[in-house]
Amino acid sequence: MLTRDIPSTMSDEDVIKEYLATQNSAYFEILYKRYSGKIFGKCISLLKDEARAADATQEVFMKILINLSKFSGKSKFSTWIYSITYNFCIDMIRREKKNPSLLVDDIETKYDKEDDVEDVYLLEMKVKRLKIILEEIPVMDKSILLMKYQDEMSIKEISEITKKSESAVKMKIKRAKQKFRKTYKEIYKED
Amino acid sequence: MNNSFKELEKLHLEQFEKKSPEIKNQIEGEASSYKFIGDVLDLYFNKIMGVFVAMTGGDVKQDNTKKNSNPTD
Repeated sequence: MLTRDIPSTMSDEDVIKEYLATQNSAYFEILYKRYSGKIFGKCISLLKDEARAADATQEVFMKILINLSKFSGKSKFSTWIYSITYNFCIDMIRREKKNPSLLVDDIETKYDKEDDVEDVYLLEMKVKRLKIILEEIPVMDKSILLMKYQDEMSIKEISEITKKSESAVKMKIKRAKQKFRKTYKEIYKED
Repeated sequence: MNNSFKELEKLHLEQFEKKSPEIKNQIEGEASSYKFIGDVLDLYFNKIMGVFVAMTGGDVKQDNTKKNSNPTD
Protein backbone atom coordinates (compact mmCIF):
# COMPACT_ATOMS: atom_id res chain seq x y z
CA MET A 1 0.00 0.00 0.00
CA LEU A 2 1.19 3.53 -0.82
CA THR A 3 0.72 6.65 1.26
CA ARG A 4 -1.61 8.15 -1.38
CA ASP A 5 -3.93 5.13 -1.01
CA ILE A 6 -4.57 5.98 2.64
CA PRO A 7 -7.40 8.48 3.16
CA SER A 8 -6.13 11.75 4.60
CA THR A 9 -9.09 11.77 6.98
CA MET A 10 -7.94 8.57 8.69
CA SER A 11 -7.59 9.26 12.42
CA ASP A 12 -4.22 9.03 14.15
CA GLU A 13 -5.50 6.12 16.23
CA ASP A 14 -6.48 4.15 13.12
CA VAL A 15 -3.16 4.90 11.43
CA ILE A 16 -1.35 3.61 14.53
CA LYS A 17 -3.47 0.45 14.66
CA GLU A 18 -2.75 -0.28 11.00
CA TYR A 19 0.95 0.46 11.37
CA LEU A 20 1.26 -1.88 14.35
CA ALA A 21 -0.68 -4.61 12.57
CA THR A 22 1.06 -4.39 9.19
CA GLN A 23 4.36 -2.54 9.82
CA ASN A 24 3.68 -0.94 6.44
CA SER A 25 5.90 2.12 5.99
CA ALA A 26 3.04 4.01 4.30
CA TYR A 27 1.42 4.41 7.73
CA PHE A 28 4.70 5.60 9.19
CA GLU A 29 4.87 8.21 6.42
CA ILE A 30 1.42 9.52 7.38
CA LEU A 31 2.50 10.00 11.00
CA TYR A 32 5.78 11.55 9.83
CA LYS A 33 3.97 14.02 7.56
CA ARG A 34 1.53 15.01 10.28
CA TYR A 35 3.92 15.50 13.15
CA SER A 36 7.61 15.71 12.16
CA GLY A 37 7.50 19.45 11.40
CA LYS A 38 5.76 20.26 14.65
CA ILE A 39 8.22 18.13 16.61
CA PHE A 40 11.09 19.93 14.88
CA GLY A 41 9.51 23.29 15.71
CA LYS A 42 9.37 22.44 19.39
CA CYS A 43 12.90 21.08 19.36
CA ILE A 44 14.32 24.19 17.71
CA SER A 45 12.39 26.46 20.09
CA LEU A 46 13.80 24.63 23.09
CA LEU A 47 17.30 23.75 21.84
CA LYS A 48 17.90 26.92 19.79
CA ASP A 49 20.07 25.15 17.22
CA GLU A 50 18.97 23.72 13.86
CA ALA A 51 21.39 20.79 13.76
CA ARG A 52 20.61 19.72 17.32
CA ALA A 53 16.90 20.13 16.64
CA ALA A 54 17.21 17.86 13.59
CA ASP A 55 19.02 15.19 15.65
CA ALA A 56 16.46 15.52 18.43
CA THR A 57 13.58 15.19 15.94
CA GLN A 58 15.08 11.93 14.70
CA GLU A 59 15.53 10.57 18.21
CA VAL A 60 12.08 11.65 19.33
CA PHE A 61 10.52 9.97 16.29
CA MET A 62 12.41 6.75 17.03
CA LYS A 63 11.15 6.87 20.62
CA ILE A 64 7.62 7.32 19.29
CA LEU A 65 7.93 4.35 16.92
CA ILE A 66 9.46 2.09 19.58
CA ASN A 67 6.78 3.01 22.13
CA LEU A 68 3.85 3.21 19.74
CA SER A 69 2.27 0.03 21.12
CA LYS A 70 2.26 1.66 24.58
CA PHE A 71 0.04 4.52 23.40
CA SER A 72 -3.19 3.78 25.26
CA GLY A 73 -5.43 6.36 23.61
CA LYS A 74 -6.35 7.92 26.96
CA SER A 75 -4.99 11.25 25.76
CA LYS A 76 -4.86 12.70 22.24
CA PHE A 77 -2.01 11.28 20.15
CA SER A 78 -0.66 14.80 19.62
CA THR A 79 -0.53 15.37 23.40
CA TRP A 80 1.31 12.07 23.82
CA ILE A 81 3.98 12.87 21.23
CA TYR A 82 4.43 16.46 22.38
CA SER A 83 4.91 15.10 25.89
CA ILE A 84 7.74 12.87 24.61
CA THR A 85 9.22 15.82 22.69
CA TYR A 86 9.18 18.30 25.59
CA ASN A 87 10.55 15.77 28.07
CA PHE A 88 13.27 14.67 25.64
CA CYS A 89 14.47 18.24 24.99
CA ILE A 90 14.35 19.23 28.67
CA ASP A 91 16.36 16.10 29.59
CA MET A 92 18.85 16.92 26.85
CA ILE A 93 19.37 20.45 28.21
CA ARG A 94 19.52 19.08 31.77
CA ARG A 95 22.26 16.60 30.76
CA GLU A 96 24.33 19.31 29.14
CA LYS A 97 23.82 21.75 32.04
CA LYS A 98 25.44 24.47 29.99
CA ASN A 99 23.31 27.11 31.64
CA PRO A 100 21.56 25.86 34.78
CA SER A 101 19.74 29.17 35.21
CA LEU A 102 17.75 28.41 32.07
CA LEU A 103 16.27 25.40 33.80
CA VAL A 104 14.99 27.26 36.84
CA ASP A 105 11.65 25.67 37.51
CA ASP A 106 10.14 27.87 40.15
CA ILE A 107 10.54 31.56 39.72
CA GLU A 108 10.72 33.61 42.86
CA THR A 109 7.35 34.52 44.33
CA LYS A 110 7.96 38.22 43.71
CA TYR A 111 6.38 37.79 40.28
CA ASP A 112 3.10 36.74 41.90
CA LYS A 113 2.56 40.25 43.20
CA GLU A 114 2.73 41.69 39.70
CA ASP A 115 -0.36 42.15 37.53
CA ASP A 116 -1.55 39.31 35.37
CA VAL A 117 -0.32 39.49 31.80
CA GLU A 118 -3.14 39.45 29.24
CA ASP A 119 -3.03 36.74 26.57
CA VAL A 120 -3.28 39.39 23.88
CA TYR A 121 0.10 40.79 25.01
CA LEU A 122 1.79 37.57 23.88
CA LEU A 123 -0.46 36.65 20.98
CA GLU A 124 -0.24 40.00 19.19
CA MET A 125 3.53 40.29 19.52
CA LYS A 126 5.73 40.49 16.41
CA VAL A 127 7.09 37.02 15.63
CA LYS A 128 10.68 38.22 15.51
CA ARG A 129 10.40 39.64 19.01
CA LEU A 130 8.53 36.61 20.31
CA LYS A 131 11.37 34.41 19.08
CA ILE A 132 14.00 36.57 20.79
CA ILE A 133 12.15 36.64 24.12
CA LEU A 134 11.53 32.89 24.04
CA GLU A 135 15.26 32.35 23.57
CA GLU A 136 15.96 34.35 26.71
CA ILE A 137 13.52 32.90 29.22
CA PRO A 138 14.08 29.64 31.18
CA VAL A 139 13.25 26.50 29.25
CA MET A 140 10.52 25.46 31.69
CA ASP A 141 8.69 28.76 31.16
CA LYS A 142 9.18 28.51 27.42
CA SER A 143 7.78 24.96 27.35
CA ILE A 144 4.69 25.87 29.28
CA LEU A 145 3.98 28.90 27.07
CA LEU A 146 4.41 26.79 23.92
CA MET A 147 2.04 24.14 25.29
CA LYS A 148 -0.59 26.75 26.08
CA TYR A 149 -0.37 29.12 23.10
CA GLN A 150 1.16 27.07 20.29
CA ASP A 151 -0.26 23.61 20.99
CA GLU A 152 -3.42 25.10 22.52
CA MET A 153 -3.44 22.42 25.21
CA SER A 154 -5.91 22.53 28.06
CA ILE A 155 -4.74 22.97 31.65
CA LYS A 156 -5.58 19.29 32.21
CA GLU A 157 -3.36 18.20 29.29
CA ILE A 158 -0.49 20.39 30.48
CA SER A 159 -0.84 18.98 33.98
CA GLU A 160 -0.59 15.43 32.56
CA ILE A 161 2.59 16.26 30.65
CA THR A 162 4.28 18.19 33.44
CA LYS A 163 2.96 15.81 36.14
CA LYS A 164 1.81 18.77 38.23
CA SER A 165 -1.60 19.63 39.63
CA GLU A 166 -3.91 21.82 37.58
CA SER A 167 -3.63 24.68 40.08
CA ALA A 168 0.18 24.42 39.93
CA VAL A 169 0.00 24.60 36.13
CA LYS A 170 -2.16 27.74 36.28
CA MET A 171 0.37 29.32 38.61
CA LYS A 172 3.25 28.31 36.33
CA ILE A 173 1.54 29.85 33.30
CA LYS A 174 0.96 33.06 35.22
CA ARG A 175 4.60 33.21 36.31
CA ALA A 176 5.89 32.33 32.85
CA LYS A 177 3.88 35.20 31.36
CA GLN A 178 5.24 37.59 33.99
CA LYS A 179 8.76 36.41 33.28
CA PHE A 180 8.12 36.87 29.57
CA ARG A 181 6.94 40.48 30.09
CA LYS A 182 9.86 41.27 32.38
CA THR A 183 12.34 39.95 29.81
CA TYR A 184 10.59 41.90 27.06
CA LYS A 185 10.87 45.12 29.03
CA GLU A 186 14.57 44.50 29.67
CA ILE A 187 15.33 43.91 26.00
CA TYR A 188 13.04 46.52 24.46
CA LYS A 189 13.50 49.34 26.94
CA GLU A 190 12.78 51.97 24.30
CA ASP A 191 9.15 50.78 23.82
CA MET B 1 -6.96 37.80 17.32
CA ASN B 2 -3.53 36.97 15.91
CA ASN B 3 -1.50 34.17 17.37
CA SER B 4 2.20 34.95 17.13
CA PHE B 5 3.01 31.47 18.51
CA LYS B 6 1.24 29.86 15.54
CA GLU B 7 3.11 32.19 13.17
CA LEU B 8 6.38 31.13 14.78
CA GLU B 9 5.36 27.49 14.30
CA LYS B 10 4.75 28.18 10.59
CA LEU B 11 8.26 29.65 10.26
CA HIS B 12 9.72 26.53 11.87
CA LEU B 13 7.71 24.30 9.52
CA GLU B 14 9.17 26.18 6.53
CA GLN B 15 12.64 25.78 8.01
CA PHE B 16 11.98 22.05 8.44
CA GLU B 17 11.00 21.48 4.78
CA LYS B 18 14.66 21.40 3.70
CA LYS B 19 15.70 19.00 6.45
CA SER B 20 12.67 16.71 6.28
CA PRO B 21 13.74 14.13 3.61
CA GLU B 22 17.15 13.61 5.23
CA ILE B 23 15.66 13.08 8.70
CA LYS B 24 13.00 10.73 7.28
CA ASN B 25 15.67 8.58 5.60
CA GLN B 26 17.65 8.39 8.82
CA ILE B 27 14.58 7.34 10.81
CA GLU B 28 13.67 4.70 8.22
CA GLY B 29 17.24 3.37 8.25
CA GLU B 30 17.30 3.18 12.02
CA ALA B 31 13.84 1.57 12.13
CA SER B 32 14.98 -1.05 9.59
CA SER B 33 18.00 -1.87 11.77
CA TYR B 34 15.76 -2.31 14.81
CA LYS B 35 13.40 -4.53 12.79
CA PHE B 36 16.33 -6.63 11.53
CA ILE B 37 17.67 -7.12 15.07
CA GLY B 38 14.16 -7.99 16.24
CA ASP B 39 13.73 -10.55 13.44
CA VAL B 40 17.11 -12.14 14.20
CA LEU B 41 16.31 -12.38 17.90
CA ASP B 42 12.89 -13.77 17.09
CA LEU B 43 14.43 -16.42 14.85
CA TYR B 44 17.30 -17.51 17.04
CA PHE B 45 16.10 -16.74 20.57
CA ASN B 46 14.69 -20.24 21.18
CA LYS B 47 17.85 -21.89 19.88
CA ILE B 48 20.09 -19.65 22.01
CA MET B 49 17.95 -20.41 25.07
CA GLY B 50 18.13 -24.13 24.25
CA VAL B 51 21.92 -24.01 24.10
CA PHE B 52 22.00 -22.07 27.36
CA VAL B 53 19.69 -24.55 29.10
CA ALA B 54 21.76 -27.49 27.78
CA MET B 55 24.98 -25.85 28.98
CA THR B 56 23.56 -25.41 32.46
CA GLY B 57 22.55 -29.07 32.59
CA GLY B 58 18.83 -28.84 31.81
CA ASP B 59 16.76 -30.88 29.37
CA VAL B 60 16.07 -29.32 26.03
CA LYS B 61 12.60 -30.19 24.72
CA GLN B 62 12.56 -31.42 21.14
CA ASP B 63 10.47 -29.39 18.75
CA ASN B 64 8.09 -32.11 17.45
CA THR B 65 6.34 -29.83 14.99
CA LYS B 66 9.53 -29.33 13.03
CA LYS B 67 10.31 -33.05 13.07
CA ASN B 68 6.91 -33.96 11.70
CA SER B 69 6.88 -31.20 9.12
CA ASN B 70 9.14 -33.22 6.80
CA PRO B 71 6.99 -36.00 5.25
CA THR B 72 10.04 -38.05 4.20
CA ASP B 73 11.05 -38.63 7.87
